[in-house]
Amino acid sequence: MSRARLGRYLLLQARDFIVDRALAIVITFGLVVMMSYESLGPGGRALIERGGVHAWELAARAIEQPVSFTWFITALMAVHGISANDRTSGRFRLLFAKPVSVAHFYGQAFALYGVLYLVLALLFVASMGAIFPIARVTAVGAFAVLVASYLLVGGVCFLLSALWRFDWGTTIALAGALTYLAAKFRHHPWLNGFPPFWELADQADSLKYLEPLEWRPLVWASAYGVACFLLGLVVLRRRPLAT
Amino acid sequence: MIEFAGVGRTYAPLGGRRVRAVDDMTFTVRAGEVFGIAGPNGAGKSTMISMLLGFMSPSEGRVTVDGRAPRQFVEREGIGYLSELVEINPRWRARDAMVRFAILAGIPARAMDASVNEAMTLMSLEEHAGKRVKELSKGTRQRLALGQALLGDSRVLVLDEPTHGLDPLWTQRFRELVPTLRRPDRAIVIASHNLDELERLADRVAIVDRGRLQRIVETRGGVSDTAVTRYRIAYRGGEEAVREVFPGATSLAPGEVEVDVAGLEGLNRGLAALIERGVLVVAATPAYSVLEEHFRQAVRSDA
Repeated sequence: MSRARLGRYLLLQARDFIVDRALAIVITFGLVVMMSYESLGPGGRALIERGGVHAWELAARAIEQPVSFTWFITALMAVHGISANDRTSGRFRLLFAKPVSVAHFYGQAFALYGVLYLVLALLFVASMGAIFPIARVTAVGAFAVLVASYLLVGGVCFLLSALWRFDWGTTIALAGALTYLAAKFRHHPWLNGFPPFWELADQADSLKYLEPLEWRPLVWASAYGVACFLLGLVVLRRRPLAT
Repeated sequence: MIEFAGVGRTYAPLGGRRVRAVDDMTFTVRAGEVFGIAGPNGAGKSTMISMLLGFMSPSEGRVTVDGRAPRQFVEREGIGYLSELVEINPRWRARDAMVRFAILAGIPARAMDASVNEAMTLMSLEEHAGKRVKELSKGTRQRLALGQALLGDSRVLVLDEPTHGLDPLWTQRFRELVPTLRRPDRAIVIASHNLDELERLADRVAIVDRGRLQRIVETRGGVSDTAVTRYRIAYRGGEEAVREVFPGATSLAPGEVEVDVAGLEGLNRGLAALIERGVLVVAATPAYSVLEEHFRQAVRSDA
């Protein structure tokens, strides 16, 4: 047997993403788009039709709510169980008896899922833009938050999935606890060592101000997520698949 | 080709009881041979196979495949592996699953269709090609898993309970298939509860029990000339004579007993004594096959 060319497996991993994950993400994005539209009311719709700055402000508020609501959950949908599911179901046995590197296999899946998730995020922002007169600064900001959320939430979840089976539950608990702690102890330096979920929540929240987002927290959150992903690859290289 | 050198493995779950699954196991599987692993449930077979595939590391000792750490060997060359519990994504279709495994086995794109078709035909899966894995019967799933194990011309094949779930026809076909898989540069390991199957297919069989290698049996050896062996004797008439010659005989049915006899000479002396007393001997056959006899002794002697 010769070493597998994992690149050829890419299309099949894309199919897995579409079948197993994309539908749930599309439904979530679709529902929030619908809810945003429904919540406008006749006054809001009239304001949008008139256009101008007030319409932009309304659109910014209209996109802030769904992004705040979905950035965490959709990124989690895209990545949860990425490696843990195969271990707990025992499917790893037939997959990794083949000439395949475990880290390479799941690393490729994470990168591909990221690209596909961002396509869905782009469609989400575009469909919001079709309903509301979204200012460019708001659209770019919303997309940037979703990119950073995939990297941070996905990266943390990838690491936890490499470590054990309860990755999604742990990610939710961790994010919840850290957001609470960040609200209580805002500027304590010890918080800097933890995944900065609260920074993304803040950035999603500030989408409503029609101003460019702060890039530093977004870059920091993304870098933190990438570091977790890389650490996850190291764990996958070293950990036993069977326990 | 495959070497276990002083291998031990202890499971130490957090807050749980430590379990010694494999203890001081040393043996070699040579290229060109079919090597069996037999043992009761919980003997350590699955742990041995997990270590052989690099799915877990030994707590002590060393496992090597072709001189390399197992995971290193697997990631470079792959092992044709059929797992005891066939776990394939239930939503995949049978042919789709085979294509996936073929890609992962490193089969080039130009040979993909031919290899997949060959595996599907060999396992008579053509009519199931479009079915989802969850729609397949246990035996058909087992054939799918066996087919994927044979993709890619691996130098090491590990078949864990290969006939589990197969009907008698496919069990027979599997037994005919294994000799065709033999190659001078290939080692085949078969783990099974079915001693008859191992005796037919394997050159040597490791008997393991409670994590320890009890003995390695050469299956082509035949009945021992000297060891105590249990024989089944069928006869006509002279029940008292049978009791007299073989006082420890266990009656199985009218005209049929089992006796423990030391060596072939002892058996022949006993049969001669029966014939002298007017008993008609219909048949005298080992009550157990060579492997079964070893298995009984090895597993019982340590109990």
